[in-house]
Amino acid sequence: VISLDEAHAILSRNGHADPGSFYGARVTLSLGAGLFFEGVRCPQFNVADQIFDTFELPVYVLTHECDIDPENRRPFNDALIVCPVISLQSFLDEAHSRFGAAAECGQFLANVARRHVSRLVYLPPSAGALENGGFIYLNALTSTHVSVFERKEPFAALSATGLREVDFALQNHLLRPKAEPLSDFWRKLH
Amino acid sequence: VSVDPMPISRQDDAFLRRAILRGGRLVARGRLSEK
Repeated sequence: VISLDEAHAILSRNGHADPGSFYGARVTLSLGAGLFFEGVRCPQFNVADQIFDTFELPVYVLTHECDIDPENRRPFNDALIVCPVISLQSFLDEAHSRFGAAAECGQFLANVARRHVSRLVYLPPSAGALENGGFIYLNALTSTHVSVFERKEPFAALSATGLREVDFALQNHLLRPKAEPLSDFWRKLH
Repeated sequence: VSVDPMPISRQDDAFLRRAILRGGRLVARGRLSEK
């Protein structure tokens, strides 16, 4: 449908994310501090069988580092939320079945880069991390257990700038006003 | 408020799921419990 180079050109032409400032050093950060990991075991729904399968996927960890700090001995600190990472190459490899024409696929990528598609966040390419860039799909958030991360090293980390981009996208996607009017609880009471 | 200018139908979302799984590895298929 569209080549990797063409996709890069569209995404960088329409995007706000600066690849140079999107990622930061990952060595000293704790689990939950804007890190990406490979091979994280988590569930994915199998539509054909209507049942969950177990996969190992590249993910971004959303849960705050304080909520899963092993030093914090308290209830409810052993589960965390992860978001699967879709590499741009994987997206393009599958895009032919959804987008008939290259222009249509290009338009979609441009809309993602412009932040008009709130459920997808564009991750710019980074040498040594996300070579060709990718996306996180905010409606595919899933939960897994902290033990899955034992002895795992992150393959990328967001910088403060990158984290602001992702947090803004999360806020826009999850907390934007509902399109339909909801009943007024207080009016019902009186 | 952002508005998706080109919504993808549920049926067509199968390609996104396949794209997610391309980057990973199947560990175990789910199994229905026997009744």
